[in-house]
This record gives sequence, C-alpha cells and structure tokens, in this order.
Amino acid sequence: MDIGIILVIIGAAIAAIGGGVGSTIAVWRGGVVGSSVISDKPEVFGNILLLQALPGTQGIYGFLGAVMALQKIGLVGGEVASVSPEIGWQMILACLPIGVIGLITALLQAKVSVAGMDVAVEQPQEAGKAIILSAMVETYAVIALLTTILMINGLSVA
Amino acid sequence: MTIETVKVNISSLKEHKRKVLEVLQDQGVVDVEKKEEGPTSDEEELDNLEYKAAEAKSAIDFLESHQDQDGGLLDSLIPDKLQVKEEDFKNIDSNFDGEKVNDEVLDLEEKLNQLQSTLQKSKKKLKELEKWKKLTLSKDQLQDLQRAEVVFGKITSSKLEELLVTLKRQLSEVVILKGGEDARNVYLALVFPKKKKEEIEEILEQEGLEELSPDFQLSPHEHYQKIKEKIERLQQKKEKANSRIEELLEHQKNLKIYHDWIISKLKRKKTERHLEQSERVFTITGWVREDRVDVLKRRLAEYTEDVAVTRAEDDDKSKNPVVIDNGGTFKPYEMITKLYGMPQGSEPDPTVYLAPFFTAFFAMAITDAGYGIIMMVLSVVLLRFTDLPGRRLFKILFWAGVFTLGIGALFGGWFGVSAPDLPNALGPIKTVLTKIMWMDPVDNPVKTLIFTFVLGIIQILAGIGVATYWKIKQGKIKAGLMDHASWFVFLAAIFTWVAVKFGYLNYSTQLAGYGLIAALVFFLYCQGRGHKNLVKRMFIGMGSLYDLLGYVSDVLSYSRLLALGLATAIIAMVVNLIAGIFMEMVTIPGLNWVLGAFILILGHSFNLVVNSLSGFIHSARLQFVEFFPKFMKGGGRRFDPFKNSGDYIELNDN
Repeated sequence: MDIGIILVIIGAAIAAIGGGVGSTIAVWRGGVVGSSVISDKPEVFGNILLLQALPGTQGIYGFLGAVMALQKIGLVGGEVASVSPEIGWQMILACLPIGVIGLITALLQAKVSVAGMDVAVEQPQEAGKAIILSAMVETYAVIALLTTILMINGLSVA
Repeated sequence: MTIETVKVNISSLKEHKRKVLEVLQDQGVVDVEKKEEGPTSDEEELDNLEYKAAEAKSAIDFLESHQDQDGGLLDSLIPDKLQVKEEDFKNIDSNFDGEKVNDEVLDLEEKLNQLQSTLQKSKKKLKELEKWKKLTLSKDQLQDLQRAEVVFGKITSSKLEELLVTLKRQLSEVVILKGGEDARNVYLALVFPKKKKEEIEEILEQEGLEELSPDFQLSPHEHYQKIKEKIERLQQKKEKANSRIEELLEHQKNLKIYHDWIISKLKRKKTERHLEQSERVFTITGWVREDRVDVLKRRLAEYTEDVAVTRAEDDDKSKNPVVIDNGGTFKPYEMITKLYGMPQGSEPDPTVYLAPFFTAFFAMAITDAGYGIIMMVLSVVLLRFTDLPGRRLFKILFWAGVFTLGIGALFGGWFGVSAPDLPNALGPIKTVLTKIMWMDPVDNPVKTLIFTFVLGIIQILAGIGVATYWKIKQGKIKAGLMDHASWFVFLAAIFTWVAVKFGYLNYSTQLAGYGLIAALVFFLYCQGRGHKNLVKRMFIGMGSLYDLLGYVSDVLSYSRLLALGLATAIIAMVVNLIAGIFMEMVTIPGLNWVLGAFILILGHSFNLVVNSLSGFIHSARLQFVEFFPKFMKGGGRRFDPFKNSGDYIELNDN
C-alpha cells in the first residue's frame, strides 16, 4: 500500500478519534450527573437528555471529517487513487482542526451542559436557555469541521 | 407583536369578592400584583384544599405507575398538558365524585401494599417448608415420644447413601424420615431411643449431617399445604385489586381535571392575600393587556354593577409585564422568542421577523429534499391523526419541511443522493430534479459558503431594517434614520467598493473609494448624533465602527449552516453506502432487500433526528445572538395572569 494512503488513514483516524473520545467523555459526564438529577426529578428527563446529547455532536463531526478524507482518495465507495506522501501529510494536517478542536470543545461543552442541568431542575421552563448556552461552545467545533472540510476539498488527488 | 400592559385597580364590595375573583380567574387576563401576604379569610380551608390536592396527586401518581406503558420519550421531550374543554373543567365537581375515586384509589394502594408484604412473607415461609413438606408428623408429636429423641438436619445428597449404610450397620432402632430435598441437600428427621443419643450424634457428626431446628407446629405437610392455599388466596385478592385498578384507570383524566380544579380554587384563595381590603370594599391591583381592559370591564359588569376598573398609578412602566401575540402561521414561532425571553414593552416582538429566517436556516442545516418531504408528512400525520403534545413544534416542523424541500431541491439532495445520480428509472422526474438543481454543496463548498454569508448579510440588514422601522413607528424618526438607517448607506458603499475592487462591477475603483469615504463621513456624522462639536461628534461616531467588526464576525457565524448541511448530506450518503455494502454482502435474495431497507430506514431516521436537533439549536442561536441584538435588548417580564391552570391540564374553548 502507498505510504500516502496510510497517512490519509492516519488523518481520518485522528479526526474520528478526537471527536469520538471528546464526545464519549462528555456524554459520559452528562449521563452521570443527569442520572442523579433524574432520580430526584424524573419529569425533567427530556431536557436532561438534550443537555447530555449536545456534546455528542463532536463525535459525529469527527466521523464526518474521517469520511470526507477517506472519500477523497476513494477508500469509501470508488476507485482507490494513488496518493503521494505529500498529499498524505496534507490530509493529516487537514484533519487536525476537527480532531483537536472537536476533542476540546466536547470536553468543555460537557461542563456547560452539566452546569445547565441545574437550571433544568430548578427552573424547567428556562431549560432552553441552558441548552443554547451549551450550544455556544459547539460553534467552534462546527467551524473546525468547516475548516477541515474546506481543506480536504482544496486538496487535489489524482 | 408586542402588547403593553396597563396597571389597573379593580374594586368592588366585599360580598362580591368570591364571584369577582372567579370571573377574573376564568378570564385569565389580569397579572395580579404580589403584595405582602396578608391573612386570608380562613386558613383552615386553605389547608383543607392543599390536603385534597396532595391526595389527588398521589392517587394520580399511583394510577400512572400502574399503566402498562408511559408516554415514552416523545412525552418527556415535549411535556405538554391534557386539553380540556372549559365547560368540563367548570363542572367537574358536579359530574365526577373526585373525593370518592380518590379515596378508593388510595385505599387500594394501601391494600395492595399490605397484600404484597404478606405475600412476600408467606412465600418466604413456603420456601423454608419446602424442605420438610413430606413429613406428616408434627414437630410436637415427634418430640412427645417418651423415650425417643428427634434430630432434624440436612446432609449433602451425595453423602446420604453412606449415612444410611453406616446407621443401618450400627443401629437398627433409628427411624429415618425424609422431609424433602433441594438442589444440594436432603432434609431428614431422625428418631431414635434416648439412650443411644450420644452414640448416634457422634455418627451424625462424622457423616457430615448438619443439625437444624426448623420452625413448624402443624405437621410440615399440612403447614405447607395451608400456606400454599393462603398464597393462592392472596394472589386472587391481588388480582382482584389489580383489575379494580384497571377499571379505575378510566378515571385518570377526570382525576387530573379534579386535581387542577382544586389547585385553581387554591390559587383563588391564595390570591385573596394580595387584596387590599377595607371594611366594605376590596381592591385588586394588577396588569391587564391594553386591548383587554374593556372586555374585562364588560365581563365584570355582566355579574355586578358594583365593580370599578380604574387605571392605577403607573410610575415605572419598565416593570410592566409584556405580552406577545401573533396570528396564525406565526403563533408557533412565539415558542422560539420565549426561549430567549420577552422583549421589553417598548421593543418590537421579534417573532414575525425571525420566523422566515429561522425556518430557512433550519432547512439549510438539513439541505435534503427527501428529509423535507418526511418532515412535512410526519408533521401532517401528527397534527391530523394524533393528539400528541407539542403541536406548536409540529407546526414549525411542517414549515421547516416545506423550506427544506425547497432548499434541498435547490442543492439537489434527495436522501443523500444527488439529483444527477438518481436512478435513470425515474425518467422525466430525474430530468426535472436535475434541472431545478442549482449546485451540489458537497462539490462546491466554497460557493455554498458564500451563499450562507449572503444569508447572514440579508438577516443582519433585516435586523437593522427592523430597528429603523421600529424607531420611526414610535415617532423617533431622527433616531431611526441616523442611528440605524445610516448603516445602510455605509454598508452599501462598502459593498460597492468591494464589488468594484474585485472586478464584479465594472467601475472606477477610485470613484468607488471616494464614495466610500463620503459614506464614512456621513455615517460618522449620523452616529455621533447628539453632540454639537463637530470634531467630538465624528470622534464619538467612530465608536460605532467597532460594531462593523461585530457585523463581520456575525456574518462569518452563518458558515455553520454549510457545515450542518454538509453533515446531513454526508451522513445520508454514508447510510446509503453502508446499506449498499450489506446488500452486496448478503447473497440470499429477499433477505438482502429487507436488510437494506432496515439499514436505510434506521440510518436516515437517526440522521434526521440528530441533525434536526442541531438545526433547531443552531438556527435559534443565529436568531438570539446574531439577529436580536440589532433591534432589541430583551429582558421583559413575562405576563403571568391569574387564571385556571394546574399541573395536568390546559383549557381550550372549543
């Protein structure tokens, strides 16, 4: 196999692992706090679930970056292109934004989400505001995903 | 639109107090001012009502825990209330004996709990007796034997044979009675002459028999049977109680109405605390929607002449609660405004303005026409054929579906398949879909990115437009034109200059540059409004240039729409791909189609749900963070009228 293809796969793995690890830890934290909250007040489950699920998006973004990278060289549906090591390295760099920022934003978004669970319990009718606050952190994961997509799109693979 | 409220005093004679409060509560148009809590007419009734409400609540909870299935995920995601006709609510006390049903439910609950604990005890006893059930002699009978000694014990099944052999060899006088056995042990009663006691006990110890002292009086056999019968009786009783509960489940709805009816009554009693009372007259102070004052007066007059509604002194208008009221299609979108909070009384209601943007942005976050169709069909089905909670959300979902279909067709996404890649079997449909397609965002992300920026610019301009319109409408024409409309001139000059500079417009760069400078000077002059000194005025105006930076970052924020749209499109593609791979892998005809369909349905549903959530949140954010600050600050107090309401139901007039 070309060294280039291996590098692309490494890049895709970085994207998927970064987002995935971040979201896993984030959703885990939300779940732990959420369960203790629900035991007191089961009726707020819907909002708690939303707050827990919010930092789960980064995992999906990471996966998306990985798919974009693999698709670019034809590893997902299509003929596998021959990839030079230069392109491979470029692909790794392109995958870094969502891999790294996805990881960080998921972890920090989890903290905002967990804090928001207090709001959901104390004032259920205001839970929407806590959800929006949590989503503010996600903005940078979205931007990072966009950066990754634009970079991958800009690469030219023969 | 935003509707301001006015502060009023409602005064009447004390003898009308009950009825006036009732009318006010039924109308639900007065937000009663909370005063220091005075004593109510009778605390005892208050306690009584609170007790009744608590009882009804525990009865409802008990019945709910007995229902086979609860509302499920959707219910807990969109908690909404039971829709009840006003007439049914008012007459609940005469049509439904809430107290009786309540008592019965609570009695049943207690009875069931008792049955359950007796049943558990009996079952435990039964299990213990299981080991001795073959003994037909009672413990007392055995121990009454004059010269005999009895030992009860258990021994591992595998050692039994050896014990018997040893006993037989050494002593023939031992009678061995087998009580029963479980998986590992055999339970025995051994009867033997008293004088042989030591000898025998030695053998038993050697052979590994563990002595027990079981607890039974009757013969174990009889005792076992009796308990068994008792358990059967208990089971029957439990079943009977359970089937009665099943019958009572039909009262659930009425019980909920009854509960809320008591709560409403309680609320009325508590509101009495906020009244000002003199010897013969009482006064309620509160806020009423400006346009409802006359209705309120009429309704009260229908009951008695001795009531006066007058405007109260209102020195701090900013503390007045705010109502937003929009007609028809826009009504559901109030939900999004309320998510952010109320505008101030003097500010515009953003609902109408945000509705088209919100829906379009939601559609951009999905960008798949196929999903748009699903959303439309789903919302119509939910609205027409179910009475699920969250109807407002479904209405928004419908319009989001319409927009998604449109935008999806524009970008050519149909369930993750780009229009040109659709199967040829679709014939003319494919041709049409390909014709209306503008571009594929997956292939042209930069072009789509610019498109999202354009959407952002449109919304920001709209925001400035709303601010201008609102100021002018309020009569502050100068403020509207100079503070807000001047932005249009400035921004237009910037756009023109950029267009000329990058060759989109064939015009002199120099001239465009002069135009820009002129616009800037004009802009600074306008923004520094209120300062006489020209230099100072221009300098103050510079502060507004900082806002320009904010606008640029606002516009960039709309790029999220591209990322979200691509996310949906690519996940949809991956779902199709995985389904394809599985269909190739499974070679059994028929099964591969079933499997493929299963993966497609599951995958696309997941994609739609996850991305609708992101789409909703991020489109809402664009309204709150990028759009609202252009024309409102928010922070108005929500109008919270004194009305009939409770934990379970919502009244409707039809």
